[in-house]
Amino acid sequence: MSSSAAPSDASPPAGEPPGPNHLRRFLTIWIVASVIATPLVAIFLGPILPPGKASDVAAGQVTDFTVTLSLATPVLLLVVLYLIYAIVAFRQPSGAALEGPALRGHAGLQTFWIITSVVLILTLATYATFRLEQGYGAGSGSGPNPLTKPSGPRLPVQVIAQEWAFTYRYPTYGGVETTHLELPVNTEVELHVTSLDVIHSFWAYQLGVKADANPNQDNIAFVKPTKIETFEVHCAELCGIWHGAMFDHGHVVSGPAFARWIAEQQRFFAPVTKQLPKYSRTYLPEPLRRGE
Amino acid sequence: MALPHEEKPMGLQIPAVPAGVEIPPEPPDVGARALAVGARLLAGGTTFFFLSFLFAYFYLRSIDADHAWRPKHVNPSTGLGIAFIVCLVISIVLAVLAGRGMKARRAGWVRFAAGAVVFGLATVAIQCIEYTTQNFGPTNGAYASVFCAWTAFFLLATLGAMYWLETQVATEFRASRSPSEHGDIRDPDRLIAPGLDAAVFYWGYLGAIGVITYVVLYVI
Amino acid sequence: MSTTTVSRTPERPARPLWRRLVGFNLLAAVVLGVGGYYFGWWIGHLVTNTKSFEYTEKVDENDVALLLAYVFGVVGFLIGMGFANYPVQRLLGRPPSLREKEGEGVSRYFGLCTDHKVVGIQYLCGIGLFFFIGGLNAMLIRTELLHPTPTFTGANQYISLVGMHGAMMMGMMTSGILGPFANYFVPIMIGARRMAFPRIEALTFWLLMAAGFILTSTIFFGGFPTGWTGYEPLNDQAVMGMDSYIIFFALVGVSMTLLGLNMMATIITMRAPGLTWSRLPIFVWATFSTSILMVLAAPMLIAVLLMAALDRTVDTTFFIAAGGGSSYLFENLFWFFGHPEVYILALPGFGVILELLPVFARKPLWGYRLAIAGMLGVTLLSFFVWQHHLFVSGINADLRPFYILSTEIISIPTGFIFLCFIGTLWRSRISFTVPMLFCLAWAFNFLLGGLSGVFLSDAPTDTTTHGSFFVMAHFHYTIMGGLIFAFFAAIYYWVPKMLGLNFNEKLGKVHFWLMFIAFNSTFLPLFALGMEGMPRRASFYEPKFHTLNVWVSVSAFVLGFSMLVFLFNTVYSFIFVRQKAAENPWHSKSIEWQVPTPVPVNNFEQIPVFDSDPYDYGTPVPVGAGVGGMGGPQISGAGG
Repeated sequence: MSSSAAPSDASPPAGEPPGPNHLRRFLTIWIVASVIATPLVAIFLGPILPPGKASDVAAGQVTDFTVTLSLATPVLLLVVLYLIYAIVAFRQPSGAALEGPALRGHAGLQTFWIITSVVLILTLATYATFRLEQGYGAGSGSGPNPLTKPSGPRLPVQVIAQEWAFTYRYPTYGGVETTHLELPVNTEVELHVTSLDVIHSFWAYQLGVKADANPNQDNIAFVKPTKIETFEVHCAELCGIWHGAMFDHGHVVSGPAFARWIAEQQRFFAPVTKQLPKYSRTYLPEPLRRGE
Repeated sequence: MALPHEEKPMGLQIPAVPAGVEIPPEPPDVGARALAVGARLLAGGTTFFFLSFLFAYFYLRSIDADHAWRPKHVNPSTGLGIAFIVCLVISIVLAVLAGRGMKARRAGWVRFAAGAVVFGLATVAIQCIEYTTQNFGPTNGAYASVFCAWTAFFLLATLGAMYWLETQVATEFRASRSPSEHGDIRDPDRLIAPGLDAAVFYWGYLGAIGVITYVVLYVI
Repeated sequence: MSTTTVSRTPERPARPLWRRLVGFNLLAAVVLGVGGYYFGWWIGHLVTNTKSFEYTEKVDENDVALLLAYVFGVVGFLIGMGFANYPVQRLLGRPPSLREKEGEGVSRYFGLCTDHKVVGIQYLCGIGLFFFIGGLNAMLIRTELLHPTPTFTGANQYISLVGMHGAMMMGMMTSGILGPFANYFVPIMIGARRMAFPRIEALTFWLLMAAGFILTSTIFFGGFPTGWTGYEPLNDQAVMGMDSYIIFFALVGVSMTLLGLNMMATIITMRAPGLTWSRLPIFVWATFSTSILMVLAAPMLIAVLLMAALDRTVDTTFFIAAGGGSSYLFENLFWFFGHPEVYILALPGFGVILELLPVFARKPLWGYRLAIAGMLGVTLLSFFVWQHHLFVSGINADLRPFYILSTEIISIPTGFIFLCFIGTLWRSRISFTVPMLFCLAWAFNFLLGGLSGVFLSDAPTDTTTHGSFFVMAHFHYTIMGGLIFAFFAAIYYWVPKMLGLNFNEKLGKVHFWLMFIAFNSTFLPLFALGMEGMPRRASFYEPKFHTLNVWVSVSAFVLGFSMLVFLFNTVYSFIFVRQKAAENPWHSKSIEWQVPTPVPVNNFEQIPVFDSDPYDYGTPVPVGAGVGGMGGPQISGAGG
């Protein structure tokens, strides 16, 4: 049904009074607004976006948020401004019953829209993939065998979730299990997240880490804290009644402070550590099911 | 309820239904097409239902959590398995023959259809015997779970398909006994033919799923 | 298909009351339903006592008994309703017929009726009831969140309320538009007099009602702690209330599958002469693509819930790691249904909006074929994106780039819908009626919902937003902002045709503005709360989130109040004012407005013949005279 090519910007059809050129007017408004708003979003909104700059992955996520938000701004403006423009400019005069022009499509515009959205989407997906793999999973749980791993020495820390608390095991420090998470600053940390009963999710908000804890599964996330500060630890997957109370604070401390803290923990928990099962990447739930 | 239509009952305005006005029947070809389309859509839905079990089978097998996929003693009976698949295949072949016979207007189709129902029910019986004689229960590992659940739901689906085939056989029997009451019901283009066609298609499709069930659960 | 016409006696003498009460009706259904429930309960205890299932001795709970009670209860209910009559007749070899209980006065609204118009109104009332129960749950949730620690409901009730609200909305509202409006209008729109399988049509409704009732009954068995997703192994660990959720959602799955099957069969086989695929109203296309999803995705839900039920009762080990199972299996199977599910909710909304827009813009639907491509594209792609719900779960982590790509590609067909929206409004003549206001609001809401979805589909940004209030805000913008706004647009647009009575327009506008402002005021701050680190479904939160939570709660109460305005409008307009609706108040060119109001039982005297699509609005544009750049070569002049 595509017929002869038409001038894309011709005068209105006969019979209608020559109105303003809506297309030119709207495009001007949109382009001006986007050109002004997009840099403002990137410059002023970008730095305050979550989750902050407390670790390498957190800082990376701030960049990702900023890029995505900047790309989304013109799209948002396009539809919102268009809605406002249409509501203002294309009203039915009160009391009238006028009909609009019988337009049923425009091949050029539709093709242009499809191509633009495909390009935009592919760009975004490529960028996201690149950031994900380059950021070693960008702080997310990447399964037992992550595709990309940071080189160099890493501090392994096991996060053991159970209803309704997290405990942490440091295998390189004699497998001591603590009730509290402390991490040395500027050290690459390898978090092994697992669960003893149901699905939980370990979420260290300021560090930009989130990894689900599944029974009998090892879920690895990498993070390198870059700032000495306190961070929040939440459970981010519904795990029963006290899911909301599964909340704690962790600390990023300097190297010597961490050494002091872990030595103290080893001393304090020595009687407990002897009773613990051998360090393992995964544990089976105990009890196995209800009533057992 | 005998409410006069001038007083509008309740909050709604119930459309007045003049006595005797009814929705006219649909032309028979619409019903036939609807049955054909419906049977194919039902087959699509059934596929995805059993796909879940197929997925569960291969997923849990590949994970083999805690080495509890399939303890050594968990083995369904080979003999009953072969009996199951033989009955299934015979039932499907008979059903397909019944469908072809109906299309060719051969009177003997109903015997084939009845045979298909009998052999279909035999697969259900064999599966039930298997449950009572097997040396494992649903708790004995993931394979046992998949085995019990998959065969149980396949058994229920088989019963449904057998019901469908049986209605066709019963309609034919009743129509042949009192042809005057049922008029043109036996005309192949009218009522039994589309129903039988749809039922045979569905049973054939379900049977193919059954063959896959057998291959997955008994053979590999 | 019925050739043997049962001739009805023209006037039946009024039967005595007792004779009317005995028979297959709602009363018998309730009696048999309760009887079936207790029968199942008894059988369940009998089975578990004789076979001595290990856990029943140790825990004071019997899931077998409850599951059987529900199953027998539902079967009894359906038998009482009269659904077993026809299958038994067929079993005995009686000839097939499509007709059952069509046209018997008011009582047909309370029983098995195969008139699609009656089923549509039944759906509207039934779904409306459960929509309000779900909304009430939301009010209680927000009341609890007025305080950072659980004080009002307590942690246990809070989790149950969250689960009930989610399950109610995700389960019952899947048929929110298809149930009332597609059942009522699709046959009329395609020039048919009934659905392809009218008995199945009635069955979907009564199954859904039974399901909603069962979900509500969970409060008697301790509720369920899993939310609407029912994740294992928490599911396996939960108390008996979990069984209510399992049976509820499985029944919803059955209802959905059958509804979709019936809709597709109807649209494929029963279109009137001349109604080619390229002339179908866009709402029918939306119904069709939704139905594809329902038929293919819902069986997977039924299967996974049956596995969960077996894990809870006969101790299979599908999801128990110690027995060779995996919690990942549940997540995979559930989201394979769960993602199509959210498009089952969104697509009918697209259809309603694009159907209404031309009427109030006085222009043809712009880009008809593009809109169809968009809907079918969404349908197809929605099967390939499910693991984006599991980006941080550690499941197939190496496949994440694929799911990032497929998830973001799905926004391309969604963009088509927006382009059609934009194109239809271009140089239009908008009248700001109540349905049109809801349509315009839909565009704003769904845009925010869609754009926030981009942050969730990018695995790096998903790390922070996953499982937080950000997700919650996102899907409320797409489902409440998308589906529910379209639902109300459809109500204000079509109910005058269905009931023959007008809504009060002033009250309708008050409802709209209250709802629109309160909706945005409720859910926009939740994006911020999620980004600041507040997890969802938590009854505890940090004091720093208190102010914003109070703001959200108060807005939510206003949102709830706007629903009361709607309820008041309904009662006021339909019971007290009773202003008769015009035959075609919106001057629509679609066929459902050309039939009399209220629609006669047989819809049409003669089956209509179609020669164009229903979007013949506007003044013709001379060939070659593009208007403002949007009227050049036409690629979608369907039926022109």
